Amino acid sequence: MRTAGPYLVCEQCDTVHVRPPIGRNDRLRCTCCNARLIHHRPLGPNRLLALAVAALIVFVIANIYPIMTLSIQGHSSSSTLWEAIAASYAQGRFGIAFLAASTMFFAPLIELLTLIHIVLSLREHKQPPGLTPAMTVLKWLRPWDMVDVFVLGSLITVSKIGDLATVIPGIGLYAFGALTLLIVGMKTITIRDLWDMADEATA
Amino acid sequence: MRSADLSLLPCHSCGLVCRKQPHTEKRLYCPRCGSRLHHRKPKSQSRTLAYLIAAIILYIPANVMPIMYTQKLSSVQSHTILGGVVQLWNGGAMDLAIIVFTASILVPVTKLVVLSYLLFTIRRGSAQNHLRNTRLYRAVERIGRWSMLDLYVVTLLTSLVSFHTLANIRAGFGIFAFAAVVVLTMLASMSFDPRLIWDRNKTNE
Repeated sequence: MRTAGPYLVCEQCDTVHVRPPIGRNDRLRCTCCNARLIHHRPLGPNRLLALAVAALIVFVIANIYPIMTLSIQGHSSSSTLWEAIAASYAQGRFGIAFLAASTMFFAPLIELLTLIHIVLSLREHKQPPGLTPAMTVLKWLRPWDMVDVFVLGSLITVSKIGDLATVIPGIGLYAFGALTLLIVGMKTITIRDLWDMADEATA
Repeated sequence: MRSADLSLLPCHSCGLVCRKQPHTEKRLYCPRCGSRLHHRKPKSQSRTLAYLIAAIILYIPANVMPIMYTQKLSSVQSHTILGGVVQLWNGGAMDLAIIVFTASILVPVTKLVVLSYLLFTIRRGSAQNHLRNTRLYRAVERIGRWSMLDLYVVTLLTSLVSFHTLANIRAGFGIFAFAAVVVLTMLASMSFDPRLIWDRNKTNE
């Protein structure tokens, strides 16, 4: 079995294309079903590393500080992400606690650490140790980190209880907002792009 | 030209295009990432169908059972997904009502309907509307995760509103069933292989 270099195959309709040279800002779409084929990668290993490290720092801040503070008639309560997860767990809602913990904490954290591990080696033109398992982890986790959905959910919570009580968005919420942007930036590099980057870096 | 015509085998995992050599052993692995190479995602139709059926069954308790209980002093109220939307709408928060309606009702229902429809057309061997069906699949694949919205709203509310005797919010079984529906529909769309839509199209060049 050999690899067939000059070809690109559409993931969605299986049409074979001959790989053309890619210029700056080029985005190629499948001629048959209009799916995205390849694009000019906007980020190299260095910028990707910068984004991932920034995201990791913001992630720590987002987890330490409360997402919002609520006060009714002199009583106030605030909650960080982990306090919210622990509250569901304490109420016996293990499923909810598990889903919230995996989509909001474990998926983004493992994803960031794995990406940093891969990119650290790539920028020195070395093959990262355990590249294949690391890529598999990234591939399986990517759909499950839901920081962006969580931020929208928090905003809805703020306005939903806004007329019953005084709600103050906390540093945690702003940090999760920033994290959303950083993750969107990182996701412009797909898993396939990363494989191509790994090929180029070690070639 | 499609990959099988040129005896090419693209890797599902890393996108590397491999060439199939005739008369080789049955199991082929990608030389770059080590994944098993398949012409199509294995058992795509039955897997998607299984996840879909599970999701449709769980969708009933997700809507019938309360997603949360609110307690003010000694009166306890239960809320369902649809009830929450109606309450927001009647309370004058129409913008929020529309967002929650879209994320919690419109998106999951659309996803269940579209995936069932795609499976049905593939079973029937339809040779029309391939492009439209692929677009439907892409849309459904992209929007699915936003349905998790309600899970986070309930999780935050239960944690924030806990003023022992004054006011309390507890999560109900409905929200777990609903989150499970979202996870199952995500799994269904991941195991669906959009290339099956095009497989019956003999004239496609």
